[in-house]
Amino acid sequence: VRHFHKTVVFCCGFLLTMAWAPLKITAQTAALGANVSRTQTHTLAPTQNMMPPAPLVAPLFVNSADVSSSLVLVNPTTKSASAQVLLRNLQGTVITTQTVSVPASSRLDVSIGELLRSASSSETTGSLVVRRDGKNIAAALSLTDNRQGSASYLDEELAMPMSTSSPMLRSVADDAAASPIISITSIVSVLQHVTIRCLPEHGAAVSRTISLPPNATVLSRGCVASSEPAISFQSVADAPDNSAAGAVGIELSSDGPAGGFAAFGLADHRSGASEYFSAAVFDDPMMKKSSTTIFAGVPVGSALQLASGTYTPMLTLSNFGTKVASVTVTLAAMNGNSPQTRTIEKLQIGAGQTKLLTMQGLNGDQNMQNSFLVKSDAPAGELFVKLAATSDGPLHEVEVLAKDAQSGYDGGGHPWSIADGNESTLILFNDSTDAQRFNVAIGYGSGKAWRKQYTLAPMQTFSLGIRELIEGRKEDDHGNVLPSTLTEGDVLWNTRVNAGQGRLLESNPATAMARNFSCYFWYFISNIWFNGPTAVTSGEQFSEDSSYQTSVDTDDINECFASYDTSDSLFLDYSWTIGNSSALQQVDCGSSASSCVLRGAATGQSSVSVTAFDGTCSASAGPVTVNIVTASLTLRAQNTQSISLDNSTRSQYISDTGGTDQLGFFVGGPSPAGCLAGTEMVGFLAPSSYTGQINLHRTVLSIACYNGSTAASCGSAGPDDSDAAHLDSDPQSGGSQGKVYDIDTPGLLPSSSTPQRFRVNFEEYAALPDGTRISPPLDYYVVLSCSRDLSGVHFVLDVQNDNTIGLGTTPLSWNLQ
Amino acid sequence: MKTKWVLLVFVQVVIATTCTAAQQCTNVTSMTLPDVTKYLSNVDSSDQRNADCVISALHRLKDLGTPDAISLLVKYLDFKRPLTTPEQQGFYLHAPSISSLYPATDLLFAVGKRSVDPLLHAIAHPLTDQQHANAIYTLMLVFRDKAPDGVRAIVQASRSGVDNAGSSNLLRAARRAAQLCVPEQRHECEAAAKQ
Repeated sequence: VRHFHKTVVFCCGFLLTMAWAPLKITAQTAALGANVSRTQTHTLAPTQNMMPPAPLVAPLFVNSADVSSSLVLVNPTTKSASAQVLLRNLQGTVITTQTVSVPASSRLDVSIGELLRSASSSETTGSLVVRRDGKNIAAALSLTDNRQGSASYLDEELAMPMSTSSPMLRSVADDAAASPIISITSIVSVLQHVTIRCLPEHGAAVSRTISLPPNATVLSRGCVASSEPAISFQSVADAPDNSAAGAVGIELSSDGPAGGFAAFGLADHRSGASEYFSAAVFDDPMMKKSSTTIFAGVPVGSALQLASGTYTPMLTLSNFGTKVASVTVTLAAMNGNSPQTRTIEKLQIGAGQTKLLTMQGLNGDQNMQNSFLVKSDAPAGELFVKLAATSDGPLHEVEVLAKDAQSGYDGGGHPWSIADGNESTLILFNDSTDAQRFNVAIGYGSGKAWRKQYTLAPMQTFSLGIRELIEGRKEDDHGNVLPSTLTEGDVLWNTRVNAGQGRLLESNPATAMARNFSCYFWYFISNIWFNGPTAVTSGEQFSEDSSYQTSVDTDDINECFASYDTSDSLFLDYSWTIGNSSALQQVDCGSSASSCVLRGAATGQSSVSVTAFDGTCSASAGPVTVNIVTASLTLRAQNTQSISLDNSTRSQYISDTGGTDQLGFFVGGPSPAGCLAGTEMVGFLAPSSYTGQINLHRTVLSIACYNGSTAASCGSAGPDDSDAAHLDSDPQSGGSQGKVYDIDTPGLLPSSSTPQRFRVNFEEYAALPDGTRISPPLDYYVVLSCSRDLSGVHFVLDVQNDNTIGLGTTPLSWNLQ
Repeated sequence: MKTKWVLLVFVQVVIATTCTAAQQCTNVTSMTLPDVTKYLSNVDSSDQRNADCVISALHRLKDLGTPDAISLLVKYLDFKRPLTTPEQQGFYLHAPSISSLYPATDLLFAVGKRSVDPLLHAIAHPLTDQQHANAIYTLMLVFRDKAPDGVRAIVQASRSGVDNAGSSNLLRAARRAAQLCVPEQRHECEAAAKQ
């Protein structure tokens, strides 16, 4: 067992619904928690995810002189994980069990040969089961064929049979030299009978039924009339059945429980003196969601990333249905910078028929920016298609994994390496009818990632050479470059659900090596929140800005349960809902925008909520109440008036004035007394039920002071807000039902008989705590003259209109002229 | 020559001290509590030239808002800002009031109910008479919407294990606090003070 505590992810995938998870996980919860000021709802309850994860099954491992196997376990999350790896021989007897732990964000390579040696087992063939403790382990089995001078690789996707699966699997094997070798593994404790139905390209259908004992594996030539179960892979590989050559469709159906078995096939090929295998991947037809199969990044003609030669795409199509299927094969190839789509073939596949379509003479893009779409009118799951590109050069065949156009996945994750002269090329394909954005993230350690967004035109295939990114010091969208010493890592991508495909090609033209990593996984939205004001004023335009949390699931789609958060972004559709549109109007709340611009239309109350949809899951926030508040100001300052009873500053006023609650002009205040001008500014709010804080702000517009008729220094214009003790900013305090107050007592404390004079112009307005004005300004003035004699201070009335408080403005001259 | 040298050193010390004080005042809005505490303990708050910096430091304590910061703010309840030049001449844009002359009172009122316990402590064990009076005033500001509750809080504090001197101070304070209630609540406040 070798541990690789790296911040990179190796790629693997699970047949049926297994997918890949991204590596770079960042726990944002704490950081974002401060911003979560709104309610959030998940679309589904967390309890739906309480089921233990289904076991993963590799129906065939081989540890012989020619072929070796290696299990790769990857934990792409921030939580450590453990799994039990169990090897069985063909009879179903457990050879060994080993529990392994996979630390967070790391990969573990398990050599099957070493596992067997540690168990002192001489077994060379069997099956493998991975039992995980959580859905944060992905796994793949890599078979390395060393029969030729250079190793060739086959990636065996682990199956995840479940009770919701169907008791049937189907596959297509390409044009091979012999009947495919099929490994069928029971994962239940009851005897099953599995019927193998083969639809050969040539000749009649072949069908036979085998007995599959509990937990056993039956390994045999699949499409022959009769075959004894092999005792080892070597024994069946060394005895090919040349009478059953050609392409073939294979259907396995069991009388056992649903999800009771898994299968994997190998088709052997001979090219001159060379021998190699291609894979026959079995899928559950019930899991197919569409009748369109996509092959992204196919070598057509020459391919710069591959060994020299002319590559000829070859399609194998098997119709398992009971009706003729009409099939259209389309090639979307790049011509310069533009995608060009052309129909390559229209053909009919009879019921139960398998056809081989060799597309010779096609020209394509040399950077493998070529993708095929195979559409049929058959129901989903009835037409199975396999594509391989054969070459007249040293690299005999390149397989491209078939992807369902409506799989529901929206991302993928693949390992890459440019060590030993290898090249790694990320291939993306937009199979939708609209331009699509693809996020690409290449991890390079310690949680860092090179991130760039690419926009692909409809039917555009895009290849991204990672060596070119590194050696060319290409900057990402944030100005980051990949370290020049980087030779391997993981690449993650995502786009809209069902909008795109992707895979990674690792190749070496010199050694005629090519490996594909086509593992998909599923990003989804698990939370959303938005921030914005909860109070605005009429006519005010403002924005509600939403943020969301992305999560990833390594197993299932459609659960919408956030086990593992990531920092990757999604492509979401937003729906903003306004509760009372007469009070709050939408200005710009587009479906693709995370923000909603609104305008307060009328006083009152409304609400805002948002739902974001990623194509599979949705998350909602709100409704959040938004008040549209306005205020009108009234100045109270007549001598006949007193401070309002519901004004919370009343006690303060009485204290300031030395015991009176009278407004207007009076002699008072703490010792020594002075000539005071008591004012009470009242802000009447609409709606009067508003409970939030409203502040009254006062400004000195202009001011002048005099001793007699001689100007004196007394400050300047500017902000003149009352201190907190002189403000009643709670519109409901004291039962005031929508009123806020500001009290003030400008005054003069003269020390002589020379009149002192105040001439001040004020302006006042009401505002929300964020400063938004919710009232028009109210201008008022205070003019005051006062002198002292032996009996104390007195108001001086030597100037007409002096000692008044009024609305509007006043001249500032000593005599008010 | 020696005299000149001594004078030069004196000037340098004065300049350095002035510069340091100015820098401290500039930075006060971002100071940590220990820094503010240190600053306030070192500054002569009775020197009017330091008033603006002291007021800034008190604002910083309010913004920090921790129990320790509030307790320190309470200690400055008797810090009186100097009158402005117009005020010294008798021109009061706003009539002189406790909250306008003693910055800590208004700041503690803005802090709200979290200042009640430190205020009660100051009422029980005042550092100065002015701090005692201003603590009562501020406490009643905090309870201005339910003034009798403020009186009750003082009375209750007098029975909460405080020493005899503290208890006595609190009971006297309750009677003073009742006088700060508005006329409509005066009776209830006085009744609360006698409970």
